[in-house]
Amino acid sequence: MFIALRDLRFARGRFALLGTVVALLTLMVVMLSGLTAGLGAAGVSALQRLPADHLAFQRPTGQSPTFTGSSLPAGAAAKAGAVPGVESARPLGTGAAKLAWAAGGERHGSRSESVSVFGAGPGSDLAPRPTADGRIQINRTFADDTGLRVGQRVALGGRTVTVDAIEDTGSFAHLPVVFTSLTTWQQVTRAQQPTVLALRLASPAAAARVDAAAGTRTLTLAKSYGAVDGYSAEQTSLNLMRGLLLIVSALVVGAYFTVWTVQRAHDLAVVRAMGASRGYLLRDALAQAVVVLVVGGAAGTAVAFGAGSLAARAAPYQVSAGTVLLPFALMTVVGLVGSMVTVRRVASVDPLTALGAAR
Amino acid sequence: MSLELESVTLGYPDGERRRIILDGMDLAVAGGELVAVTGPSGSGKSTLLAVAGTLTPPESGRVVVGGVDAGSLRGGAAARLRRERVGFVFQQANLLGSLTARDQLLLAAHIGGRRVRAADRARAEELLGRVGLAGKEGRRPHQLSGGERQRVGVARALMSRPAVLLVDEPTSALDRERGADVMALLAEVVREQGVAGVVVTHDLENASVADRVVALRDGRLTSPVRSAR
Ligand SMILES: Nc1ncnc2c1ncn2[C@@H]1O[C@H](COP(=O)(O)OP(=O)(O)O)[C@@H](O)[C@H]1O
Ligand SMILES: [Mg+2]
Repeated sequence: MFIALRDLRFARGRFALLGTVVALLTLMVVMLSGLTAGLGAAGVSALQRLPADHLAFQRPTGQSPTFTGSSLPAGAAAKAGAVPGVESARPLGTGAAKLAWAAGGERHGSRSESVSVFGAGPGSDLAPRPTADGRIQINRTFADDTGLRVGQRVALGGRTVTVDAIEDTGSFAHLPVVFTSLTTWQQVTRAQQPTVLALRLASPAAAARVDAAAGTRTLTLAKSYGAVDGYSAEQTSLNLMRGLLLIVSALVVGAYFTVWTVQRAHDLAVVRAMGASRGYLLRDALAQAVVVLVVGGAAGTAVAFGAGSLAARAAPYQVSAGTVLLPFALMTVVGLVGSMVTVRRVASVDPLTALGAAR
Repeated sequence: MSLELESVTLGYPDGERRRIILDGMDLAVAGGELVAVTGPSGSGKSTLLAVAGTLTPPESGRVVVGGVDAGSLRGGAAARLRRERVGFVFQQANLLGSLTARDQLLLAAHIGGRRVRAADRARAEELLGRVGLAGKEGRRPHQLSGGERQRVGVARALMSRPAVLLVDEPTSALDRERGADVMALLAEVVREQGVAGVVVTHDLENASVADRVVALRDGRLTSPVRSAR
């Protein structure tokens, strides 16, 4: 790093420019990562916390099952439960409804919010607590935001129910999840049959046997996220943006170091003529890239962390090691890959060109 | 501490044919001796230095640098020989823009792949003082005159205590007086450091500071044009 550090100091204006660009790109990638994870969680966090590894949907007429289009055939739970290799098969109802309640304080009148309604049988472990007819378990963040308390009477899809518990029910299709009994769920959503079966399988091979016996289409829990309306499209476009930003970063860093290397090709030839090995110059050049990428990336990440922590209070935005440090590391690696385009250029410098200005 | 070239031959492709630049050339320079090589532009003077400094292997013939047969060395081994036994001074001083005068010299120690030691700093200080740059060690190339830059180049070439000092037209970018100063300095340091020196110049007056003057013509060194002393 003998030359690298001195170049960084001497040409600090230029490197500051590149560092700023790296910082801005990192800022965008980290923010996008937080948003992607946040929106993803808003879409499926209620599914992620289900004690199940597979979900069985009604066999779709189209290509792939959806939560909104699925209604299990009658008796599906019993048939699936009898299949060898199925440890448990519990019906789950999913849907949406309006939750309305009388607002307290001086502002009288009523308030209402859209929620996702999950119905689980009384004996099942799908809800945080055992469910009961006419009673609901509401999401903790939702309770914090609305001021709803345990014991309060509210209207769910027009039906009067009581808040039974405040739990980490998660979120589904961007709405906070309210758990209730299957019967109440049927009344509220006017559905005839549960939406899916939450399965615990001894081996993934049992999925096909369930589908044959119960007339269903079984997906792994993770695959079932794609059955939430809009989830795949949203995640795909966000990840596409992130991928494009990473490609742009690699190109920007690559272009910068290509120009930089071309400009100092004569210097490199002189140092080679002095007896430096190719490895010496390559190490020096890559160390320089690492410094710029790490310093610029860290600055961008720090700003993104601050902005993200603020954003997480108001928007579906997730701040975690996976959404902050991982994209930072990814940016550094991608930038290094970009700077690798100069490896051949640095390695192929001919020390002979140091002699004679004529050539 | 010497340089020997024996029947060195080298050619470059020139269209369909091959142009012979060095044609069975011989040159022996003892430690502490400075030889000036003159010759018209394009006669192969830089090529001669490139072969002597292991930048180009000869097609045939022997190159012995400080007692080491360099003829067959390539890549990393040649780089190592250059690092340890060869000092180059280039036409334009060819200093690195971001390095101070002191760092230009320390770089020569650093490329060996070890940490810069106190002894290296002391030697850099001493050499810069020797070439008349005491007090200007912290300056970068753009803060030095052309003559001063070339002096830094000379000091840098001596940093690794080379066996051979190879100098390519060191005065071409300098005015007459500065050029004569640099040539005088070269003659002095070659003697003091006991290094085998070859300086290329097409200025016969400048060449007169050397112990011997030879001319490169038709790929060979002709007998001394005139003896300096
Ligand atoms: N790498 C090369 N490829 C082809 N021709 C070369 C190469 N290097 C030098 N030459 C040719 O060899 C001749 C001698 O070049 P050079 O040693 O630079 O001469 P001088 O230093 O005496 O001016 C010139 O005609 C030059 O064009
Ligand atoms: Mg030349």
